[in-house]
Amino acid sequence: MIELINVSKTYFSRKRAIQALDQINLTIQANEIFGIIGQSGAGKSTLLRCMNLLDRPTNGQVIVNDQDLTQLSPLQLRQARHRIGMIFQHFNLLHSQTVYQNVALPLKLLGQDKTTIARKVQAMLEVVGLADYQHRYPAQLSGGQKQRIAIARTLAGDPSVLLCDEATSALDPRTTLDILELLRRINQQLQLTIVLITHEMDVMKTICDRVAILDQGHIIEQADVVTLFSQPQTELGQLLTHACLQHELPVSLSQRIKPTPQSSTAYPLLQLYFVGESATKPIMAQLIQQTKLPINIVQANMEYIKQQPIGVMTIEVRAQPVELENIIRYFNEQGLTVELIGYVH
Amino acid sequence: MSINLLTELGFATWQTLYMVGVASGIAVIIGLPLGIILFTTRSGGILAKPAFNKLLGSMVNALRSIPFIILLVAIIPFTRWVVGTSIGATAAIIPLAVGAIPFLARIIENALEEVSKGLIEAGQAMGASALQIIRYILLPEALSGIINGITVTVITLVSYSAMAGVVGGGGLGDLAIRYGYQRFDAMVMLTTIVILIVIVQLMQMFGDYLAKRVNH
Repeated sequence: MIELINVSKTYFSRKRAIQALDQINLTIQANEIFGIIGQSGAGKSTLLRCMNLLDRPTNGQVIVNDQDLTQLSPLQLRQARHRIGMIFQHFNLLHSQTVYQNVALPLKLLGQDKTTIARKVQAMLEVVGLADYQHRYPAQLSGGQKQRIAIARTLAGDPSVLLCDEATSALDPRTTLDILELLRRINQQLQLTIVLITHEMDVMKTICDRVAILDQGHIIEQADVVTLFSQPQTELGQLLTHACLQHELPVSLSQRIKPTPQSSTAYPLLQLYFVGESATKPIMAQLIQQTKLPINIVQANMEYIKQQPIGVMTIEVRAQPVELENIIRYFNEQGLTVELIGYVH
Repeated sequence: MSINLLTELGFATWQTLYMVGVASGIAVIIGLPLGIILFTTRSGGILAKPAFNKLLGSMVNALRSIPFIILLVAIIPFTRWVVGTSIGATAAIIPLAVGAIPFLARIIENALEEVSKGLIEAGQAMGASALQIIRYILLPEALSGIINGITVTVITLVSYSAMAGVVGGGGLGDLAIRYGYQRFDAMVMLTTIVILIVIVQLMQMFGDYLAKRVNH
């Protein structure tokens, strides 16, 4: 478990104070995959680096595995770090060393004997599926393979926590999925708590259990990933999730939307969010059968997030205000979130 | 060229190799750690001691700014204290080493600078101590650059050693001055130059070979 209590970080650059993190409170449960997303400069990297004290917070406590890292002596901190793995955007492998030697590094640091190291390295390379690559050098590997080796290296030290600093940002989409799948697998097999930061919402959607949105050093929103995607609470949350669900109305239509009806031919535009079970029921068909109203689907998208279907649909309902209330009530009864986004003229 | 002269050439070659070899060894033994200290004690380094780093840096600079011919005679008392005499090839080793140490230290510092910051951070994140980072990350990653730096230093020492004649150190440079210049013996001059070129070429080739071997 990781707990950040009132963590603040101020940098001094040319005598100007820059507040990178401001009073962050965050609890990450054991064995979950927690994602931190934000735009560049939001402080994501600093926040992650506070979790192993690569960046020391100006104020606040960082509790990992029941130890407050900020109170430890340098020696104790090094011992605590053996149990906190970290992988990086640019892998940070030793180019002068073979794959075997790279994976063996944390074990050498712990002073383990040769037989133990050999056994452990072999086992970790099997976990990441690169057992035949022991004698290669990093320069001979692809980006995805390098990240796998970096993962094997960090796992060799038996960490209970794995921090991922934009670990897939330098990889192509296909390789990103492979690496995320590997992270998911080791999360389950090795009971590992994983914290990852990214600017890619797709990564969050694919792998995370819970997500926090960081904006200018503040956590502005925190939720499980399904809730975040179905009901983002903040503007940035909406921006990020909507971009990911590719739910943007065409400009030609959005220009014609007014907040109030200005003529009798203006029809309301509703945005519906389906989550979980409600996404599997024939709600639309029943509505049309019952009301006989012409309903025009303007845009729709369905995604599966952690095996949970999430859908967003924008519909134009040719209905009068009285009927509209009934329709909204009907949707709410079916467990949908409805938002009246305006009237089309 | 007489037999006598040939013997002299052989002996001078041996003296040059002896002076350069031992001085290089000393320079590496002291210059390598000094370079590591210069790099790691910078502000933001893994053993950051900015004030100490500045002081050490100025001392290295001061030593480097003394022309070798001056250094050779200026530290005669120190040389006498270390080896018991201030003349001869062995006595020349001391100023050669003293001249090479700060030179090599700066080159090592630069070689270490080439190691990516990310690797040092990865080491810190793994819980490595400063010494472990030096041993397992900095030195292996910078090895090829360090070998190149040592090669440059050794070759520089070959040229410095030509001035060793000033303190009776002998060697090829001294021979070239005494026979080639002072006695107008062009043959000796040419021969010593050829030998020096061959020595330097071989050293460079060997250094390149080693540097390439460790570069993956």
